[in-house]
Order: sequence, then C-alpha cells, then structure tokens
Amino acid sequence: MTRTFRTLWQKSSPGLFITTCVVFLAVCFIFIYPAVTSVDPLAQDIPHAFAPVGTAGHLLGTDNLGRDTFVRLVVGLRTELIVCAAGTLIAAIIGTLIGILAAYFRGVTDLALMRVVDIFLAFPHLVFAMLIVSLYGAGDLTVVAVCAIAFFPSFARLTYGEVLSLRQALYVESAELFGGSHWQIIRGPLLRGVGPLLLAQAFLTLAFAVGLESGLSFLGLGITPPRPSLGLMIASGQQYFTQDASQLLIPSITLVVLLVVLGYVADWVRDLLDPRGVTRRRRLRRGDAVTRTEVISLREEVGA
Amino acid sequence: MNALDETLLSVTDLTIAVAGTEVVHGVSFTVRPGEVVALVGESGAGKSMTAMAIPNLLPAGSERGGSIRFGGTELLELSESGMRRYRGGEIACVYQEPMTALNPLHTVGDFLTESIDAHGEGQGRRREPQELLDLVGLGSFDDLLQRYPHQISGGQRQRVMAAGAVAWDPKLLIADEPTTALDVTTQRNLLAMFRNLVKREQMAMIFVTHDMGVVADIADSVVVMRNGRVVEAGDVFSIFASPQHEYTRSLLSAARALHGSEPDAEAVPAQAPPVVVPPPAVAPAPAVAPAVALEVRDVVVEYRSTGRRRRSSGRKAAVQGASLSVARGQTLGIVGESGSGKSTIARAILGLAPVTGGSVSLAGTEMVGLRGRRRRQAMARLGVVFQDPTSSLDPSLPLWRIVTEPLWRSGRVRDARSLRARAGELLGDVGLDPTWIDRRRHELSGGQRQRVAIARAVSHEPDVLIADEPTSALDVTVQVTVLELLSRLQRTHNFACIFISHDLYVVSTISDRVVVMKDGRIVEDGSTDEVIHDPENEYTRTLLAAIPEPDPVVQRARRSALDEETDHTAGGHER
Amino acid sequence: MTRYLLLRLGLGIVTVWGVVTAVFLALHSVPGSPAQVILQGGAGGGDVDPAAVAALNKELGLDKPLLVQYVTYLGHLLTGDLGNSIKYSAPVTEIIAAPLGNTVMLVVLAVIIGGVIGLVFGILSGNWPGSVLDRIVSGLIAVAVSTPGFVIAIFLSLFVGLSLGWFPSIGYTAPTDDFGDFLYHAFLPSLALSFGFIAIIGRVTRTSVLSVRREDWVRTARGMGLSGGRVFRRHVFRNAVNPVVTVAGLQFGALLGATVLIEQVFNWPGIGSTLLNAINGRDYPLVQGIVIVFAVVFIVTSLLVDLLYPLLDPRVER
Repeated sequence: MTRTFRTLWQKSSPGLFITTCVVFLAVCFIFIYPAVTSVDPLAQDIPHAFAPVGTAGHLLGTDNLGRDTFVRLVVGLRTELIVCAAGTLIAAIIGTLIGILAAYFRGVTDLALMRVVDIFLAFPHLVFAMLIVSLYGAGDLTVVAVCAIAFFPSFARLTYGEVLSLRQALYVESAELFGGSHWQIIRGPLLRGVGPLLLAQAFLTLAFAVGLESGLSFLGLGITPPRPSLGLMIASGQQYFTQDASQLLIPSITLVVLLVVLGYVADWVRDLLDPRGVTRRRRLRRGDAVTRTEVISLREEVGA
Repeated sequence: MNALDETLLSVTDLTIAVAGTEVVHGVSFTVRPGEVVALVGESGAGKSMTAMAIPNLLPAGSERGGSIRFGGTELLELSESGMRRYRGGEIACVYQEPMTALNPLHTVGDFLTESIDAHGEGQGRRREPQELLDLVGLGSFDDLLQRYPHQISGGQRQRVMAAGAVAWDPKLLIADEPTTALDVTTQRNLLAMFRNLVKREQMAMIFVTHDMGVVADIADSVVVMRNGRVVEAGDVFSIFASPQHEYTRSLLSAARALHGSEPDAEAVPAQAPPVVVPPPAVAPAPAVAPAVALEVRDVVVEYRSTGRRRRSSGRKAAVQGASLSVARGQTLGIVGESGSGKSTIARAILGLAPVTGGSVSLAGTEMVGLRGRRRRQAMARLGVVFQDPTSSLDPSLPLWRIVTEPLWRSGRVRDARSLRARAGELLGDVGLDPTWIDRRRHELSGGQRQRVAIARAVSHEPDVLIADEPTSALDVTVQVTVLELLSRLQRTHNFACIFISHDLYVVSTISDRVVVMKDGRIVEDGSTDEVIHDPENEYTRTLLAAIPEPDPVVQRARRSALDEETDHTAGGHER
Repeated sequence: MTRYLLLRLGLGIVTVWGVVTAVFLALHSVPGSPAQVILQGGAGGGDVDPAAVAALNKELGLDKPLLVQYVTYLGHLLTGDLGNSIKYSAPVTEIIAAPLGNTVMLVVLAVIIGGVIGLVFGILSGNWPGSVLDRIVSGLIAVAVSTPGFVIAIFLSLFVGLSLGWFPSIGYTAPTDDFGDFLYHAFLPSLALSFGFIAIIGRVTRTSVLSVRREDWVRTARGMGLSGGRVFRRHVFRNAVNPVVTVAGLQFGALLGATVLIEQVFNWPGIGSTLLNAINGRDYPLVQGIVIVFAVVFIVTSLLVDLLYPLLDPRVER
C-alpha cells in the first residue's frame, strides 16, 4: 500500500497529487456526512426560506422552501454520483466487451457489432434520454439505464481502436506464437494495454454522465423531486434568482467544480499510466514546457 | 582549382545542448569546396545533431555554442531571417525518412515549385521543376509532378527531395542518412546520383551515416563520432588503412566482419568478443544425414484485399511456389530486398500469413490447416526472434515473465519459483546478468532487449529457430555480438535456424546454406560458399555488387567497373 | 470515388433504418399498449377506461399485429409522412418545420462563432505550448468543456442579458420579418451553445497543431528557407486542419442535442422546446417524428463529412 503511494507521489506533480487527495477526501465526506448528520434534506421550513449563507445551523443558507442547502447539496451529489457511476460502470463493461470482441475476432462479428455501436453513437444523448424518460418515467433506474446505453458506444469505439493497434504489436503476436490461447491473450496483454485508457475514459464519462443527469433533472426528467439533485437546485435557483442569487450560484459552482475536477483526474490517470505502458506517446502535457520524457524522445528523433 | 585550398565550412568546438543537457561536446572539422565529408558513428553519437546544427534545424529548445563559419560568415551569429537566406540556397538538406520528410498533401510539383519559389533570382538562374527532375535521373518519369508522395517509391522520394535541394545550386548539401531506410540496390543507385551531383555542380557534401561501406564508397574524408565527440578524423584512405583510435578500429572490424571478410589481425577488439566463427567450407560429413527439422514445399501465400476476390487479375501472390528445408544444427539464410517475400515466408511458417497452397512440415507434422490446440502443440517446437526488439517485448511484464513466456503460456511450467530460476539461467546463457530478472523492458538497451528476445526464443528447446532480421535495428558493433551469440546457442542446443536478412554478407557469416528471394520467388539456392563466390543468378550478382565494401580502394574500383556497365544515375524505376 | 460514395450512402441508410426501428421498438416495448400510455398520461398513471383505450387503439391502428404496424410505419416514413400530432391534430411535418429552422439557425451560428474562436484558440495554444497564453487558453477550455450548456446559458441570460442588458435573453422575431432583429435575439443562445463547441475544437486543434509541428516535413520546409508564416500556413495549418474538420462534423449531433436545454433557458421557439412539450404532453407521434428527424439530420451531416475527407487528404482511398 505504501509502495503504491510512493510510486504515485513520484510520478505526478505535487499539485495534481494534492488535488487527487483532496478529491478522495471529499468523496469520502460526501458519503459519510448524510449518515451522521441530523439535518433532513427534505425538511421544509418556510418561515426561514432564503436564509443567507452563514446563518446559524444553515451553512449555505436555505432554499425557497426553507430546506437546508448544504445538506441538499451533499445528498444530491451523493445520489448523482451513485447513479452516474453505476451507469458509467455498466457502460464501461458492455462497451469494452464489445470493443474487444469486435477488434480481436474481426470478420463478421466486427462489422455487425461496430455497426450497432455506430447507430447508438449517432444519437444526441439528451434527446435519447428524453425519449426513454417519456416512455418509462423519470427515476433513478431510468437514469442509470440511460447513462449505460448512451455511453457504452464511446467505450466500445475506444477499446476497438486500441485493441486493433495492439494486435499489431509484436509482443501480442508473439504471445499467440508462444502458445497463448485467445482468452489468455485477451486477459493478458490486451487488457493490460487497454486498461489505462479505459480508466481515464471512465472518469471522463462520469463527467459526461453527471452533465447528462443534471441536464435531465433541470428539465424535471431526472432524479425525482423532492429528493435533491444539482439540476433541480439550479432550476429552482434560476426561478428565484431575483430573491436570492446564492441559491443559483452555489449548485452551479459545485457542478462546474465537480466536472472540472473529474476532467483533471481523467487527464492525470492517463498521463500517469500511459508512458510506462503500451505506446511511447509523446507527453503533451497541458501547459508544460519541455519535460524530461520529451528530451529523451527529442534526442532519439534527431538520431543523436 | 585554387578553391581547393579555401575552406568552405569550418566547424570549431561546436556544442549542442538540448533542454539544458549537453549532447554534443566540442566538435570540430572542416569541409572544402566539392569535398564529401562523412560523419560516421553509431546511434547516440550526435552525428545527426551536428549536421542539423549547421543550418540550425535543431528541435526547439536546443542551444548551440562554439563556431560554424561558412564562407566567411559566422552562422551562429545570424538571426533567423539571416539564416533563412542560406537555407535552400547555399546550404541545402536531404533527410532520412523520405515518407515523412515530404508533406503528404502536396504533390511533387508543389514541392519543387515551393523549393524554387523560396529564393529570388539574385541567387542564380531560376530553374524549372522538370529540369530538376532531369538532374536527379527522374526526367523520363511521366506525370511525376502530379503525383503525391505516397504514390511513388522510397527511392523516388529521395530523388525528389534531392531535386528540391539542388534547386539553387547549393554549395553544401547536408545529407542525414539518406539511404539508410532504402534497399541496398536503391542505395547503390542513389549513391551514384549523389556522386554525379557533386561532380556536376561542384557541390560539397556532409554525408551522415553509420555504414562504413557507404563511407568507403562516397566519402573523401571521414569524421568519426562517438557519444557527442569526435574521436578521429582524416581522409578516407588513411582512416581505413590505419585507424588510430580504438573505437574506429572496432567499428571497422565489425563492419568487415559483417561483410564476411577475415577479421583484422591488428584490430584490438575493444569490448567485442571474437568475430563470428565462419562456417566450415565443407560440412563434416555425419554418418547419418541430420534429420530435416523443417520442410517447406511449394508454398504459396496470397493476401486477399477486402472486398475483392482472390487471384483477381493483377494481384501478385506474396510468395509463389517457394521450397526450402533446414536440418538440426544447420542454419539457412534467406535474403531479399523489400517486397521479396522473405519475411512473408517466415510468417507463413509461423502461421501468421494466409497460405493458399503448398505445405509446411515441422518435424513431420503438417502445419498448414492445423488449428486450435493441435496447432499450439506443434508450434511449441518453434522459436522466434523478430526485428524490433522493443515491440516484441511486453512493456508491463518483468524480464523473468518475458523470457519464460513459452513455458508458462503453454502451461508447461506454472510455478513462479521454477520460472524465476529458469529465467536466471536463460539470462546468463545470453550474456546478461541473472539478477536482472525483475527488470522491465524500458530499463534495457536495444541490444540487451534483443538478447532477451533470443533467450525467450530458445527457452523451450525448440527444434527450429526463426530469426527475422534480428540484427537490422542494432548498431554495427552490437550486431556482431548478437550474431556470435546465435552461433554459440546453436552449437549448444543444436536447433535448426532460419536467418532472414536483407544483407547477403551478414547472412553469410552464420549460414550454411543461403536462399535468395525476389518478387516472391526463390531465385538462388546453394551453400554459402557457392552463393557468395559463384552465384548462378543475375539478381544475386546484382545484390552482391550493390553492397558496398568497407574498403575505399576496393569499393571505388568496384563501382567504376560497374558504372561503366550501366548508367545508374538514371533511375526512377527502382524501389 | 463513386464506390466510396455509394458505400457511405448505403451505410447511412442502414443507420437511419436502425434508428427508426429502435424508436419503433422503444415505443412498443412499454408495458401496456401505447394508447394506454397516452391516455394514462405516462407509464404508471391512473386507471383508464378500457373502451377509450380500445377506441384509440383502433384509431391509431394499434390493434393490428406488430409486423404490420412496422411495415406501415416504414411505408409512411418513406413517403415523408411522420404521422399526426395528437395534441395539435396536424401533420407532424407541418408542426416541426418552423421550429426546426430556428434550431438549425442557432446551430449554424454556434458553429460559425465556435469554429472561428476555437480554431484561433487552438492555433495560439498549439504554436506556443507552455506559454502564458497557452496556459490561459487551456484553462479556459478546461472550464468551458466541463460546464454544462444550460449553466452557461443561465449565466449568460441572467448576467449579460438581464443585468447588463447588452443582448436580450428572451424574445424572438421571425427571420423573415426582421433578420437583424432575429440575429439580435439569437446571439445569446447561440453564444451559449457555442461554448462546448469552442472547447472541443480548441482542444483538437491544439493537439493537432502540436503534433503536426513536430513532423519531418515541417523541418524540410524550414530547410528550404521558407519564412515562418509560410511554413505555418502551408505545412502546419493545412495538415492540422483535417482531423479538426472530422471532429467538427461529428459534433453536429451533439450540438443539436444541446439546443434542447439552451432553448429552455432562453425560451427560444426551436425544436427542443417542441420536443419537451411533446414529451410532457405524451404526444408520441410528435416525439417519434422529432427523434427521427434528429437522427436523419445527424446522419446526413456525418455523410457529408465522410465525403469531404477524401477531398482533404489524398491518401484516403477513394
């Protein structure tokens, strides 16, 4: 355990490492807090509606029905994260399976599977989600299903492309030659090669899923009220903007921060796991001047 | 002719630093008008960097120090716009990878026009694209100007690049390994083209290369580099006849060894073990003929393009009716240029290429058409070493897993302890430290990786070892040691070996028999001695003639004799 | 070239067919007949009079076997008949014509605004990586790509629209009446829509420029003595732009989808709001029609992008 920590520390910049620790702690908090607090996210208290930020007992104030914003925020985040993570997980499993099978076995399987993927890829997620919700009604399970169906194509495409190029790699070919069965190869070098990308993509997709869900709940088609969700809070915040701007700003900023952080983690995961891994891609780090890896590849490329 | 005494280019104490790290340390040499200077060294020597420093085409973040004087002007003091006047004008360049050096979205005509338009009339007479093509021997090629780079061959692309480079009669042409990526016959023609340009245009050249044969062919003087420093410099004849520095001597010794010459009695092998043991002229006649381990008969390999039927007109088979055989303890060499089918035949034996006819029989078992578990069992008798030592090793596995892969993949040995022990033995066998079993691919050099690949290939005691260009990606000095290793292992394990290469001489150093392939067919088949000294086939003779000998006196005599036979400057139809 | 065209066209048709079938199946997979769902006001609504259900069934042709319904459905589609809206009692095609136009206008404006800004950002970032400019631009892009469209829309509408009053946040004038006023009202919504697009184009352009800059032919161009500007235009930009075009084309569908939320915020009479109202009103023929239109529009654009690509890159097989 300590060894993984140390390798993580060595491989990333301090800023990213700290950010990730903070994120990890925040996630723990989000899950633990609702269980230990006595504040009820659904409790209305109309006389105390629109209490300003910092009021005693209401850290972030209250909304139009006097419900505590802080608790609603945390509970809303938790629900959203659970639902979206579940959807992303299912999408990842289905998508990866399809991508690997299609790319490894080629032929008819390839054509059929990837055609289906393309059909789903063709569709704007929100519209599709709205269609499903209109038929099956809003609710947690619907959102999970929507996320799973909306995002599995991108996983499929990603794994497909990666496996296709990995198959050409000599060490995968040799594995076949040295007696590896299909399953061994898929389980071994292919999965290892695809792993880092998958993880990065999972975080990105989680971000998209949260975005999709908040859009849905903004339209009233996502997580059902009176349970809190960021989209719902933003919608009511917009409605009562003139009376209390903080009720719009707080959930909006939370949402943006959440998504930015998820994007950052995705980048970090990819940077961390990739250079050691399959392809020797040039590290195009955001905003960095020439890094050490680039120096090595620079020297190699001029043939010095 | 008094220009002979003037120095055209004078490099003094040149240092180059990339992102703060110095990679070239105090390099000095001179170039006279019309002189061809070879910058020689192995990978990492800094020769390309030095050459590219002159027109300042180094990657961003590089710093130069010292002095580069060109015709009286100090180049290091020039601004970017000042330098631009020289580039493409008096100093021009030709690069190593013709495919990526030309913009894929521009036609040949676009490229040449752009080279011409880059400078004004003041620099000389303005030429037309077609004229430039004539200069490089592509004059008779119809509608070349409308073609894109991916529609012409590698040799043609290099000629086009040279055409663009000479648009404004440069005084100095810098060529950065221009023939390294090409076939040897193409290289031969291109070297003739360069020589022609030098003579006709009174052009000086800096020719960067790692091939001592090329140096012997084209250079007037030589600068030997190693690890960013010049170790020796002088005129080509003296350097080859009496090299002073031990590194130069080991380079020459390795080059000669790979050319099948007798090892230099004087040469002190710096770190290289003795040169490859040449095969006996006559194999010791065994009482019983050694069992044939692998037999390939009339094999046909055809690739199907998607959507089209097989054997549609105009579709050539990759391999047509090839037959060969190897016995245990013997080595068979397969030689050919790109597209000859030599690698395809290896892939056919391994089951990686679509075999549409003939048979491949391994220790009596027919391999064609075999599938599933039976195939895997049969394959257990084969070992493989590929050309690229990097991509054939799994980057996420430790060495002990890599080197014992055939054992645990097939399920023969499962427990980690015996695998690790065996791995240690194997590493020792190939001259690597047995304590390295926990290292990973990225911690090893190219030569070391190839040794690991070889160790893996013999770990399961195969009957046949197939080595597909195992040394082509390695430095010359390293190549010799790897070949020696293969030889030794064969004596110990007594496997049959198939050695594939594009270099006939390299193959000859460890093979008993040699087979030459061209366009998918076997055109020559005989013992090494026969093929090298008394070839029957015209193509074999062409191949032998094209490989430059690392001896300037001999090489220059050879090439003038051959130049008289055919004019090799006019090309455009080679690969 | 024609082979390529036909192949792509064929694939496009197959994809449309796939989507259409998927929509059909989705509609008919809901427990209870669609008519029941309509009358109930959504899945799991209250009890409904069976006689009313039967009557509606007959009217919508839902009492026939599934396969027959499917074939009739397909037949109608081929003739361009998307059925009739229940709420408005008019052909779907009539209802969606004007709103579709409004939405497309938004998307076109967003593409223009976003494309130009995104390209500029990407070029600036890619050409000077690691500079202050690059860090700023990349940071902006990171935030823009993470912020959901509707949040941006809300903020634009409230701050720029209401508080600052530079542009209106509500209101609409038909383009045929007064095009200038139409643009004036369309500005904020299309700006909001373009943010995500800017971010993606900026990112792809940056990566593309960064990788093309390192290519060997750029060094060859410099080696010829060409000026920096010329090298950039002909050898970096021209080559870097290809993947950007592909990505941009593929983004069209995403943009179309994003309009739904933006239109909500700005009260823009586009197809998104029509869809939302149709869903809330259980007007299934209308919902179905709009979804199919979305799919077709998207597929047509990706077809166009597919056709464009060989023109841009001679290496692609025609």
